Amino acid sequence: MEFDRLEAAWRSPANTLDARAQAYLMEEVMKSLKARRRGEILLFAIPMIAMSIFTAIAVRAIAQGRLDPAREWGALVMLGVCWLVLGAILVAGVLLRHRRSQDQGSMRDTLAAMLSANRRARTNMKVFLVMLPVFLVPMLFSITQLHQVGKATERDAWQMLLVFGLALGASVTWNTARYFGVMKPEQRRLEALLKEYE
Amino acid sequence: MGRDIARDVDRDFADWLAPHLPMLHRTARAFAEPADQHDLLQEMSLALWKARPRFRAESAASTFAHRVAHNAALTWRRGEARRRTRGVAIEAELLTREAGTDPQGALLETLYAAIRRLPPIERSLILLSLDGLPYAEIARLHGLSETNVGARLTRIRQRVASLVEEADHGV
Repeated sequence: MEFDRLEAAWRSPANTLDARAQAYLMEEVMKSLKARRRGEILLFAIPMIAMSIFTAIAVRAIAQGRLDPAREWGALVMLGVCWLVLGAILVAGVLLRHRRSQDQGSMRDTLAAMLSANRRARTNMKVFLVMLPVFLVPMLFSITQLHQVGKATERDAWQMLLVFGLALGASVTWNTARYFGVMKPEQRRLEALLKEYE
Repeated sequence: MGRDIARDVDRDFADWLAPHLPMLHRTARAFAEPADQHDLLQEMSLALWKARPRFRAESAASTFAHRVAHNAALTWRRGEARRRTRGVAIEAELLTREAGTDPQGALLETLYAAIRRLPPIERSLILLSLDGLPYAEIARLHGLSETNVGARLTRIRQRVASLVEEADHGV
């Protein structure tokens, strides 16, 4: 088959959207863009609102003398660690927005940059696992302190440990699944694409 | 007031996107199977929406759109975003109707199927060439030399022609 015939078919009206199809597609695209944008805002707003509520409760408890920071500092450290992580995500997001992106440089450079980003993300996940004890220590301290000051019975303390343990377990499971189910296949896909250039 | 601004931004983006929509549609057809084309089209549109604030008039808007769309298509993973919408059926109907009334429609379907059988980078190269981009531009987009692009495209055209021929003969 002559390639010219295929090129002619490519340029034919059959390969061009008519006005109705184009209008429909545009409407669908804009609808999905709005939905995605709303989703992205919610994804950040929900933890932000939850953290603000917890912080306001803590500040109010300190102000009313119901929480003694000298004896119950564990809970405050826990709150601090959460704000630190949230802040780091926000800063990283802002920095990434200004970084060289896929609309600059060649596609080959972009794929190489994506592979580097994938490597960094996988390293971050490993760091997260290593950092777990850093979060676990203030958590254990805060529960022990609550028990010591009489705000939690032994039964309450065990229940708290169970709930926090389950939450951390779920987080570790999610990250492990993402590591092997998303990040590793993406790494293989990017490596295969870059290999095509050789 | 915030809503008015968002509406203006959306309208502005829609106006900017409109001339590139046919290219996005062709790219989706060449990179994804029919059931996934709608998802890929949305992924490419989203990539363009995110990238557009960084668009500078140093390069042509169509080159910029090609670069962002092809990058999104190359790294898109089937089933990544399960957003099968009611639209797919209507869209398919609209486009099938169009293909069916044109004698070139069947040949185009075979051509798209042949392109989908190529490795991703080759798919991107032949699409850019079919869309009329000069070798120098394709070379710049992919970070290859012009000679390399020329040699690759000669091979890819032969491969596509033989795949179409195989399909025509029911091989």
